[in-house]
Amino acid sequence: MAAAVQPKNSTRLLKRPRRARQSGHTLLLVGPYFIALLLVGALPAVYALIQSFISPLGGGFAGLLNYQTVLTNFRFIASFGNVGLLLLVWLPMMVVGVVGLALLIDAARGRFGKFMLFIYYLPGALAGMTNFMLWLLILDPNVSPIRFLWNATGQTSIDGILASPMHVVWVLAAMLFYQGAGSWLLIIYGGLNSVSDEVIEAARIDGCSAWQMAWRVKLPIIAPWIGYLVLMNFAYGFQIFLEPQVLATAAQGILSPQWSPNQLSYTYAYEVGNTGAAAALSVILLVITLALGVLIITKTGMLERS
Amino acid sequence: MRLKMSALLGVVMPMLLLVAGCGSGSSTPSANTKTVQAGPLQVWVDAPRVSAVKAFEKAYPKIKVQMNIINDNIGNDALRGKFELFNKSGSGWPDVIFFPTNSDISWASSSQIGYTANLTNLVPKSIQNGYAPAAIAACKVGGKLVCLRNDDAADVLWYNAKLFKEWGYTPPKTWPQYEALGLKIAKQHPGYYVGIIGSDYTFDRYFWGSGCPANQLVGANKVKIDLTSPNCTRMVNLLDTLLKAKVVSTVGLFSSQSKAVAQKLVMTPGATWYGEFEFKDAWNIPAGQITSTTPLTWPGFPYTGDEGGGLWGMSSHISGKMQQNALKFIEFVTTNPKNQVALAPTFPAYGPDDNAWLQKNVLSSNYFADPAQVAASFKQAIKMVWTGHPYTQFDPDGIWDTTVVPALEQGKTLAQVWPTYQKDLVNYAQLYGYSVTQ
Repeated sequence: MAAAVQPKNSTRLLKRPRRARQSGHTLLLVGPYFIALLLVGALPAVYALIQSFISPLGGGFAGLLNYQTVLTNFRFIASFGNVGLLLLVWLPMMVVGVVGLALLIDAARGRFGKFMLFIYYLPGALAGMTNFMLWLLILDPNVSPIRFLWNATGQTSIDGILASPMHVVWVLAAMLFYQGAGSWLLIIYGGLNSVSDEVIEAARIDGCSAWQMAWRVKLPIIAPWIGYLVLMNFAYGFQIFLEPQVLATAAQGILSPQWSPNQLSYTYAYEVGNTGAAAALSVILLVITLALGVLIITKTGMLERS
Repeated sequence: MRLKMSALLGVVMPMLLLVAGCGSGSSTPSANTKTVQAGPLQVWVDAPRVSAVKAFEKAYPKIKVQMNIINDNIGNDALRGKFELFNKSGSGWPDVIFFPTNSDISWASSSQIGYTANLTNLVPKSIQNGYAPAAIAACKVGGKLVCLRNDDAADVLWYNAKLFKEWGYTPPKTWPQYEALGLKIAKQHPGYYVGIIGSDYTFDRYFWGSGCPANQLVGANKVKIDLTSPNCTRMVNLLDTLLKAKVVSTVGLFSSQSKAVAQKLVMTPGATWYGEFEFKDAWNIPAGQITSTTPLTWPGFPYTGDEGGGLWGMSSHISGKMQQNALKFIEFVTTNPKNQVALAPTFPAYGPDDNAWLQKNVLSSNYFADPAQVAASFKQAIKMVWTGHPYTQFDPDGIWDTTVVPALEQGKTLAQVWPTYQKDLVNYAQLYGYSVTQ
């Protein structure tokens, strides 16, 4: 027993200097990111937290007044309802769509698969704003290349298309899907590539069909990647700002300027001039996103397994 | 673990203190006693006003001007945020600004922002008296003159004189006559329109001149919002009747579909700038068809509405030579014929420039069917704008677009969406810190 412990200790002793050197390198690598994280992530968050307790009028300690202001705002529940609906529509679309396409490409390894991967990636290659400009063209029945479809459904104006709140949700979900699906497809496909050939071979020998291979073998292995997809897209969708803002401009203000909670926060900061309330709303958004983030990470075991 | 925690605290604590320092420093209202006295004149304008700045530089070559062109989208909501930040940092304000949206004057002149200078004793009385009271009313806030009006955008009645002649109609003078003619057109010439009530300026076009209290100021930061007033409901009934008869369209004034509707537009109330900018430029109606006449009114209520018409403000953070130069600037751009007659495309709010402008832009133009009648209607309308509708930080017209237009698009009537509109107006008024009586 003692003899068995001895060599273990000695290797640990030997490894120490190397580990110190390693941690030095680690610091060098992580340092710049850590500094950036502090400056543009942590510092503003702490600043928001402090501002959220400062009175918009006198500048003194306001207690929970700003939180009360925000929680009782007439757009608060409506705006959270909007992003809730959007996430309900868009996230499943994203998970099923992206994972489904990745599995299809993975099943068709070779030239055809690579070609299709490229095709699927194309819409994502257009940078965010360009993508939305294209969408605005598609949505306007007067200039749209799919005008015949709009005409067939009796739509004559972008205002008309966006007049129904549910249409806005579908339009935003479609916009976000086409913008993000391409890049996420690459990530999920990368995950599938990491499934070792031995595992696939073994499953095949055991008589797995293509469907069973995807459902029973590949999916459980890439679960952390899917968790990552859900986490990142949830955070983006929950804090959505740009897309409804641009859509509102294009549709001559038919969308509420406070469609999403983040837009409500923007209204408080830049139109009403109540930075306390804006900060309080940001803190609420941060807490919810963090809580759900932790939940997703622990449930999928993302950090341990990847 | 303990080590990590203390390291983390070591990093975070100084940061917290730093931020707390910033926080308390910036949250105290800045003392705006310090004023700028020298340097080039900082002027913020939208793109159409660049020629006015150039004309000033030519007329006053000794005054150095630094021009900054700002986003002229109506409802450019980032502007106020900039002024909040200038107030916090105690510098950065423009010396003169052309407000992209008229309602900007409400926050710019508020005690919270306190940007606009009190011009009551700075601008000569001779200039102040050159404005018709209705034309300068938007610049009178709390008894002080806080801006100078650039152009006037009073509503007149525009109509297609060619169609009127062909069909044997005479232009209506009152709203009930307008409604009756609208119904007649619905029967005799289906497919034609007598108005547009989608996004942009619809509230101003139809309800301002009707005296509808959607944001009536009854005290400092106190508004009365009562859409159940007969002054509002008479117009709701009129428009619902015309909507049912399919003679008013729900397209937006500036939308891409408005051009198609305009080809079938027999008449519409509209601002003085509709002739040049809508009928001629945006809708391409051929010359010799369009003309305007005196505004539509309700019996016993001889007022009209107003759709825009820009405002110039001057900084309260300047003094001495700087202030004198800024004054020269706003007086030049609003009153001098070198700008208002020679360059300005819109009808000057400053009365003494009106005749020369009308001569150049209306009487000498071959676009209008009856130029003399157009000129007379402009001069008449400018005096008739109802002064009971102020600019407030919440804009009934913008809220019309987000609340009423989607309902109309879904086939609802105005009467059906009216309670929601009232509720939204109250909500937005409260969001901007007004106390509301209903």
